[in-house]
Amino acid sequence: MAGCKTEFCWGAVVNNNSPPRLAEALLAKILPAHLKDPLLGDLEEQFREIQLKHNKQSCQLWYWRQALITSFHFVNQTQKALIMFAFSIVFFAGLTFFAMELSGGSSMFFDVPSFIITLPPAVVFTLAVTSPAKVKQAFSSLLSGHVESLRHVQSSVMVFDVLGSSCLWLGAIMTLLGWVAMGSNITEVKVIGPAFAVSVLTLMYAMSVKLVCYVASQRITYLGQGLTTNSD
Amino acid sequence: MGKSRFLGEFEQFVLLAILRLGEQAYGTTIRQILLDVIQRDVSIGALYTTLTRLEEKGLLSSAMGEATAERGGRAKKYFKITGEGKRALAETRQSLDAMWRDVKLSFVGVQ
Repeated sequence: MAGCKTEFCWGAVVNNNSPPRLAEALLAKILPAHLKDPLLGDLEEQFREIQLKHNKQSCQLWYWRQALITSFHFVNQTQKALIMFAFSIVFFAGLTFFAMELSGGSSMFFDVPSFIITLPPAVVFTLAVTSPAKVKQAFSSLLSGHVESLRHVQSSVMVFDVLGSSCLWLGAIMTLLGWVAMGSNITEVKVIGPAFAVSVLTLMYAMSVKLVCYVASQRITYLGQGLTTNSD
Repeated sequence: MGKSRFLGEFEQFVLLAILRLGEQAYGTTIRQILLDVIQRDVSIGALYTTLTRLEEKGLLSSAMGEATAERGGRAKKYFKITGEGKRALAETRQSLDAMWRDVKLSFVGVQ
């Protein structure tokens, strides 16, 4: 039976697929380390048994159902840091959106080009100053709530500092650039208002990114409390 | 007598399943016996949450077993009930029996 996808075995049509890899990866991420092996093993063992009686879709559905229920049981234990960080970001975004709506509608606060000229260049600067591996490590620590050493903390804080500050400076420069363009090209006073608003949006986006980076950097510093140079 | 420790309904079922299974008590078999005997199809997550809690309370002990191919090369975790677990189970049963004594089923709506 091994190695076949669907074949006739013991008088029954048996599908011999693997459990859904994405569901396995989700569980591997969420489960506490000491339960990963036994729980994933139990699920795979039962998945193989169910395959003897049910079709592929039912088996996959069963595994996904088990994976999602199990994730729900353990997510609060192992992903508290991620949940709190995500909650703080959603809370901040919600309050900002509420303030935008109160100011006369949120549509005037959205301008994709203003965002594109701040965040992507700031990410490139961060990659240039640190390294792709350090950037990945910083985001991974932030999301997992786990830092290994003091050096790890310092490099992750640096990533968020460079990202936030680069974004802020880029926002300021691009806003000034907008003002210079306005001063050089605008002759009619009535269009100054909308043009000014769009130019200031760039700075607003940059400041928002800086704020999130500040929170991220403080979070990493907090996670590193208690680590000593010996842990390097 | 020390402080009584009453067990929840599902905790009792899990401990009894482990007692019935003896040396073969691990996630899959416990889940299967709960389904066969009391027709309760529990999720593996709910089962392990309870097993972990019972282990933290000292009512269960566990040991890692062999890894097999049908488990994707992953090891089993065998559970065993401790002396304290057996005591808690017995105390809970005694308490329930005491409460049921002299109760007629008609009192709770069963003819």
